[in-house]
Parts: sequence; structure tokens; C-alpha cells
Amino acid sequence: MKTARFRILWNRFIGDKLVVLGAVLVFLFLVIAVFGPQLAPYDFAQQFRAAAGELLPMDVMSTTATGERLLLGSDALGRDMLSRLIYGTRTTLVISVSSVLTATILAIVLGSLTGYFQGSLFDEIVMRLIDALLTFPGILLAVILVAAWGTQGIQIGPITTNPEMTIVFALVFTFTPRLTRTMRGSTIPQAHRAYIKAAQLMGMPVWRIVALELIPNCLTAVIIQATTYLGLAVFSTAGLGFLGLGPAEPQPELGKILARTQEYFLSRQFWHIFIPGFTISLLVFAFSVLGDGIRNVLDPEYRFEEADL
Amino acid sequence: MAAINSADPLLQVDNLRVHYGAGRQRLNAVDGLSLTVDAGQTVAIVGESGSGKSSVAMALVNGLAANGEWEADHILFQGEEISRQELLRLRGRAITYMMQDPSGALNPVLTVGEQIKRVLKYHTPLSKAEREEQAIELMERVEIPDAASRLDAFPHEFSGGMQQRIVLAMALAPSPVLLIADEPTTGLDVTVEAQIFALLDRLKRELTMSVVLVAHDLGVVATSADEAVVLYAGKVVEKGTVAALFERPRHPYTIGLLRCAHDLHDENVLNPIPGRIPGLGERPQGCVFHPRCAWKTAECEAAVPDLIQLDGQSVACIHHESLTD
Repeated sequence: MKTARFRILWNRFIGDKLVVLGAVLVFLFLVIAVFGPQLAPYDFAQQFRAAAGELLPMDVMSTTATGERLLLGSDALGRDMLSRLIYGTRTTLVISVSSVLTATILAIVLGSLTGYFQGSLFDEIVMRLIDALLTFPGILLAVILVAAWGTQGIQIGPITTNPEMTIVFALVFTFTPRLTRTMRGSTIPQAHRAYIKAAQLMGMPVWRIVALELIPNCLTAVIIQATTYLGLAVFSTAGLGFLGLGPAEPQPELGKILARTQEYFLSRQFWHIFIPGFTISLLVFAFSVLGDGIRNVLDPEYRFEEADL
Repeated sequence: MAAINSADPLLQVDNLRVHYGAGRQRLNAVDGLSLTVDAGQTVAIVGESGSGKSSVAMALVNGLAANGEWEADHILFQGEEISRQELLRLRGRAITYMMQDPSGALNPVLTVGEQIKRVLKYHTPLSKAEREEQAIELMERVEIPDAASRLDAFPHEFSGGMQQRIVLAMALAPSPVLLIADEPTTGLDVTVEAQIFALLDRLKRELTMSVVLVAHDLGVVATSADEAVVLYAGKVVEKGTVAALFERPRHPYTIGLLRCAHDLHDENVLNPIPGRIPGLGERPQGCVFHPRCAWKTAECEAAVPDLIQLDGQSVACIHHESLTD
């Protein structure tokens, strides 16, 4: 019975070739992120000199003064483009995935509690705070927060967070309000269902009712929204990096790499811009297509087709 | 559970009042109901919609809506006076509640086995393996065929009658001494209804459990209850053993209810009680039933009748002696 259910969902998922492409691309990006240090040919901060002995943006397949072959050339500071791209993908992915994950977990907790205690003082306080955060349009809030906190890491008592955490925090602040509203919205109708009353009358404690009975019934919408936010998170992380609000040098990040390539946009190496640009586009594309696929699988309104069965 | 002294009633509630706050108003839904449930007995609370019967059931398990409040002069459990707090602590263990609507009462995303095991986990000291075993045993007890393999099925894979059996299995899981069943067969067809009541009756005897049955169907009350309390607009109008009530109903309302049922034998005649039950804010002065009563006199409008103790039953009607069925 369980396996049949799973088969139907699986068939829905792989029925769409574009979704499969998205899933494969995301998987490849994850492999690159996880095994980055093993895959990258050089250290991302190592500077190579061109044959002429200068620090130059080098062409694809050029050889350095010391004899190393740089597959994708180098940036203006002579650092290997391929290695920076691999490490940059890693940074971007870690920041965007962890910020969406954190925001989603926060949203599930806050949304289910405010939904369950709808109309309580707790609900009012949390929702008004969220309303306040929602007044900032999208990415602007993250820009303001990173600009205010700086990219050196935030000091919380004796602990200074790692610089990437600043960006994660900023993105969490941007994503959580919307996700929380979604979660609260799907919680409220469920909280009034008879099985919740039944659980209360069985004498179950509140945390059990919320965590074990309520939340599993309210996840669909927030998960769909979170997967669409993955693409947005990559875009935002790269956007912040591009605006100079990314992690501090020499840490590579896709948006930062893209920003650097502007410098020689009018030179012979103008095509450099396509390397990080294409990577970012591919990553966003992969996530949004995968998000579509997940929505198709989870959406109860999705129509069954011949291919499903 | 401690041994029950058979001389004491299992649960006795005196002068139960339920009221709902609506803005500044306080509306009485149940006014002065006293209930005695003996061990192993089924007590039915009967009335039409709006009579307050569900409010009684909900009050006993503290499940009233947020604007609902209840109080009682005395609550005695197995002969001992207990506070409302102590009654609340019995809920879910010694006293369990069975919901009206089985399809809503089960969590749609959890397998039925998981739901039964959760009740066991919270209310019994059983280990994981024992809970698994116990869950199968409970499902067999409520006559679900092929219980072991149905453990992993989801609620939507069951029919309404089977769902209600699962709800019953969950209510029986903590081995309660009192089961409160709030119209347990709403929305089920008549044959399934009969099966559920037969099952409830058998389990009640096997497990020496008492049942408070909330019902609007006199046929159900006649076959499965020992005693009945007839509620009308929040007031007890008549109560007594089922045998006495059906043999000789004393209150005009009970007589009216029975007439509706009796005359169904005659295809051409329906004997509805004229009028409708008054809403919470529009309860009349005097006897609550007088606006719809054929035997009404001036006295009925003046004073609230007391519950008069008779042989085997008690009735809240000043004219009970002159009434004939």
C-alpha cells in the first residue's frame, strides 16, 4: 500500500523530463559543493603569474610562468578561475541552502504555534513583528542587514560568528516572515479539525499535539514555497556578493566572481563574465525546475494523468 | 485501576451547569443536571439538537469551546469527592471520549496503527514491542478483520464504520472505566450503527466499563442504555431507567418524543412536536417546555418545576399525574 503510493508520486516526479534535468543538475552541484576541496585543482587564493611574469586575467587553457595549466584561465589577480568557481559554488550553495533551511524550520515552529494559538497574545506579538519585517521589499532587507552588520561576522557575547553567517542571518530574516505566514495559514484550518480536538481530549500535552499531530498535516504549502525560495536564495546570495556584501576576500563566491569579471569586460577577456554568470543561471534554473517538480508531486490539486498510473 | 466498590456509583455529578459567554452575556446551555453512572452501566443523555447534551459530554472531559465554562456542586468518582482538576487528570486514562465524526477524528497523515500506539505510548508503560502487540489486539477487539496487516493503513483506506471502530480502539487503549460516547454513529448507515452499538455493548460487559451515551435516537437508547436523562433546552425534564421511561413517560416532552417514534408504524401519520427548541438567549420563564406543551396552564409559565421523584424515574412537570400517553 505504502509502496504503491510512493510509486505514483515517483512516477509523477520523473514524468517531467525538465524536472529530472533539474534534479540531476542540483545533484551535480551538491557533489561539487561537498567535494569542492578534492575537485579543485588549486587553492582558491593561490596566485599564478602569466608567462610574461605579470598578474593578468589569463585565457582558457593558458600555462603559467611556473608551468601549471589553468583550465578556465585566471582572474585579474592570477587566481585559478576553475578552483574559484568550485569554491564559489560551495560558498553560494552553503549560504543559500542553510538560510532557506533555517528559515523553513523557524517558519514551521512559529507558524504552527501562532496558528494553534490563533488570537493569543503570543500570536499577536509574533505576527506584528513579521508584518514589520514584511514591509521591506524582498532582498532590500538583506542588503540593509548585511550593510549594518558588516561582513566580518557578528558578535554575540563572546562568540564572533563566521563571516558567511551574517549573510545567512540576513537571508533568514528575509525568508522567514513569508514562510511563517504560509505555515500559519495552513495550520489554522487544521487546528480546528476534529482529530486535534480528539488529541486534546485524550489528554495529550500541547507540544505533542503541535509537533506530532498538527505539523505533519500542514507542511505541503511551506515545503513548496521553500523549494521555490532555494532559487531565490542563490540569486540573493550572488546578488549580495555582486554588490560587495558577500563574504570577505579571499573567500570566493559566485556573485563576487561575477563582479570582478566586470573589470575586464571591455578587454580581450570579456567572455570571462559568462563563466560565473552561466554557473549562477544554471544553479537558479536547476533549483526552480526542481521546485516545480516537488510542487507537482505534493500539490493535491495536480491532476492525475495516464502516465501517473 | 483500583478495585471498584460496587456499592458506590462510578461517577456522580451534582448540579452541573454549563454556560457560554457571548460578549457581555452569559448564556446557560445546561442548567442543573445531576448524573449518576453506576459501574458497568450505560447512561444515555437524550435530547434534540440544541438541548445541551453534547455540552454535558464536553464538560466532563473539559473540552468545551474557549468561551464555555462549567461548574458542578459535587463530583464523586468511585465514591470519593474529587475536584475539577482531579477529574481532568482522569481524562484520557480512566475516562475517555469518543468523537462524533470518525473521519474527522483520525489524523489523515498517520497510519491507524501509529495513532493507536501513540495513545498507548502516552497513557501506558508498555514497551515499543508490547505497544505493537497491544495495538493489534485492540483492533481485533473492535472486530477489524485482518488487524495485523491493517495496522499500516491510513484512515482514508477504511470505511466510516471501520474508522469508528478505530476511534473506539483508541478510546479503549488506556483501559478506561468510563467511556463517553458522543453520538458515536452520526453519519453511519443503520446496519453499521447497529453493529457499532452491539460491539459497544459487548465490550462494555467484557471490560466492565461504564458508558455515557449521548444520543438523539430513542431506538438506540432503548436497546443499549440502562438509564436515560432527557434534556430539553438545558434542563433535565425527565430521567429514570429506560424500562420505566419507555413504559410510562411522564413528561410531555418525553411523551412527544416517543410519539414521533411510535407512530412511524402508521405510514400516514407523523406526530411532530410543534414549534422548535428555544435558542440559548431565548429560554422562556417558568417551565422551559411550556411554549410547545399541549397541557400547559398558567402555573407552567409562572414557576420552574422541580424534579419530582417517582418510582424508577423522576420528572419535572407539575401536571405529571394528570397526563396520559
